[in-house]
Amino acid sequence: MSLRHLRIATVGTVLAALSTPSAAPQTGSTAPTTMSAEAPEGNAERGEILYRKTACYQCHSEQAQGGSQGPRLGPNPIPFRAFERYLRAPSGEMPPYSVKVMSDQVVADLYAFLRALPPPPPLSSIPLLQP
Amino acid sequence: MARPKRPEHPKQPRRPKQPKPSTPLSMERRRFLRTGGIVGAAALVTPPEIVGAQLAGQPPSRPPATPVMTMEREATPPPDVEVLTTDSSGSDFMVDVVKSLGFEYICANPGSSFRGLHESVINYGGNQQPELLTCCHEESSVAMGHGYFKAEGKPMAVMAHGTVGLQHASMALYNAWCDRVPVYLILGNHGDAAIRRGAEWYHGVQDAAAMVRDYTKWDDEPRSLTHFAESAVRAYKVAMTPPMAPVVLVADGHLQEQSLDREGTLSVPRLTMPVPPQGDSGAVAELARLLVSAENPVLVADRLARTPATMPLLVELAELLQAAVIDKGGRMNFPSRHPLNQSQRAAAVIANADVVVGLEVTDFWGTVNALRDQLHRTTRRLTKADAKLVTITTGDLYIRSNYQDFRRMAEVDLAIAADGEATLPALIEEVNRLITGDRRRAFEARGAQLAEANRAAFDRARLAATYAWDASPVSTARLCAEIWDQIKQEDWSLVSSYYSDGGGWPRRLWDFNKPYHWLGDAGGGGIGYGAPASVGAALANRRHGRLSVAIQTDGDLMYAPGVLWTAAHHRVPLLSVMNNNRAYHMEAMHVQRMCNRRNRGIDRGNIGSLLTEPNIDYGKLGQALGIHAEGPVTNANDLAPAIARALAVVKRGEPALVDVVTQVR
Repeated sequence: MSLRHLRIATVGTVLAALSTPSAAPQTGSTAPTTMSAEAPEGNAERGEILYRKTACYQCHSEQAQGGSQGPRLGPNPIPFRAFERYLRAPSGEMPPYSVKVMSDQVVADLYAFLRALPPPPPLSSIPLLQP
Repeated sequence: MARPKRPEHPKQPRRPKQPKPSTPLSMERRRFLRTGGIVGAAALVTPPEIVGAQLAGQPPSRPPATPVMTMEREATPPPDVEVLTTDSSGSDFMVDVVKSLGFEYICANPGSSFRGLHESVINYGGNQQPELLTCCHEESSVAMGHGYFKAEGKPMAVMAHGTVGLQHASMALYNAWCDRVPVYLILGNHGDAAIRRGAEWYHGVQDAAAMVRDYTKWDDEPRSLTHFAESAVRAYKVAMTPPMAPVVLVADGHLQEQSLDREGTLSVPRLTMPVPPQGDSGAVAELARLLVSAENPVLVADRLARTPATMPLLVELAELLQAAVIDKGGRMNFPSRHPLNQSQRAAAVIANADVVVGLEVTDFWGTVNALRDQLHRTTRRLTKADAKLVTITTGDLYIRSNYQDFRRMAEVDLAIAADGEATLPALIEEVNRLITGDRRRAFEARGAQLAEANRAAFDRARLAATYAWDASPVSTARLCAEIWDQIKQEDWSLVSSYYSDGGGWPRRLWDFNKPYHWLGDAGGGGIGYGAPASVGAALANRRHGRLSVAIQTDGDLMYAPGVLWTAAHHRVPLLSVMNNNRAYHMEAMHVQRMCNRRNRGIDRGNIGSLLTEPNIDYGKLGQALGIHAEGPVTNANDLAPAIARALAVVKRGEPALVDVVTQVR
């Protein structure tokens, strides 16, 4: 039971912090937000490998779609500075990724990977998800 | 709507006639028992009164020579005075007692310490009511009883060795304890050291129930058959009285196997179940006043639904008040798509509440507070400072010390120590009495807002499910959507799923609206519950013609996969769809948290938690255990046909499994 409650708390605490409004990706756009332009240059391919290697997938799942343990991260991640700030010093349940274990370049690569994720198919195109 | 039966209070039976063995197999068993199965070869040549014992008042003499067994000696008939067979045994009477309690099934992995009872169940009792179910592990036996109760509303009996069997069963027993589920465990034990066979020393114990006494509600080791009957009936009564919990009854081996020579003097006590305690009328009136005057009341239900009557009562109360409901999922308390169901936005409604009522909530402190798992653990209150907090729970009536499942002490304004379900009718009546026209109009406005929030949460869930929709491994959202598509027209029951709590996909996407649509989870967090509990629940659902579905995790199945054989052997229709993420993933995340916190090795956190190299082929595993099984499915587009094939098998009355390799979350 404790795990169950922890999961709920985790999602509730960090969801707002790490994901853009969920309707946004339905536009099909993967263009970065204005603040995301501040992101240092990253390598999306390297970021994909690092996303798994540094265990982001453990809570946010393989496609960064999120799940019961952590929110969706991409596509259309939150602005880079907010992303980096949360990664280094999370206010919720997420374990911190300090500079000692994750360099700024790795953070940039991860962010590039999240930005490069393809949009999902439109909700309207999936019969199984109709009410 | 089919409803699980309430516990039966059967009439006291007359001792049924012993069925005559009709098959060659049972003839063979009888013959075995008559030719030394009970007494042992040594007793044929040694007077029973000196076997294994010293004569009082005499110096130790030279031990009797070990008899040399020869063919000639074996062929020699025993002395006329020695009785080698009997037509009626103590365990026959024990079966009378067990039958009087209405048990449908009795699970066991066979063990010699209860061989007398075993034989009486299958021969004297005719292997009906209860029918013996063959299990491959005592943990499976108890967890099957756990799942069976949650679908049927009455306990299953389990037999096990008093030592090694109970040791195997103990984790499942702990889960049942934490989940407040009654399991009726009968342990075999040879208490009299003077007449123990060799193996019975390993299986003998002074106080069999001692090792599980901290997480069982009551136990006894009867010294006579009259004592057994009274304790057996008492154990049932104790187990089924809220708060319900497992009980242990020791059936002494000698008592089982002794001839029944006092048949006329034995009787089974009448069972009268106590009425569950209802909340004090003054306290209920005070709660009704708080609820009617509140602007944002929240009803939180966890292990509230004790019987199928609960859900309609909670719906009635919620609709009267147009109050938000959070179903924490310990039981099936509230329809998932009811407009007042706010489980998907629990944090928001708790934060906005001015009255929070916990209805049989296991962790009420954790409902209204949060503990942050960082290097320095901190807590914070989730509700407004002036929010009124109320609990109704039998948890206030019974608590033990050693195991800490009682959770942190919650500071509340009103604690009603009573059964939640039993208290709801009085609360509804009192709320009805207090509602004025003005309040009703305010409630309607509130209800409209909550309904809109519920719709929005459902839309968000559907949208979230689109992400990774076509991914390989298959996303857990896709897995659940594919299953739902094929069962929604059936009379279904989700018997187990690790991901069916408030944040899980089934609860977000499926329409849960019947008491048996969801049965809660393991209770104590002991992994290995899912597979056997699913089989037990499916066994109960079989009688009602329901389709039982389990979303089966891989780590859970690997604890005791032999239960799939039990399902095949007893033809238990169960659709198991694997959520196979090839890891003990929750634990991987815990270790990852430590890596990050300690600034080292963040790329090594999954060492020790992965179930890869080699990957486990659950399709072949299922096939080896005699069930229809296929997979691994890695392409989401292959999932629907695989589920359809398995479903066809289940509809024929057999178990089936589809192994699906899934995303980790």
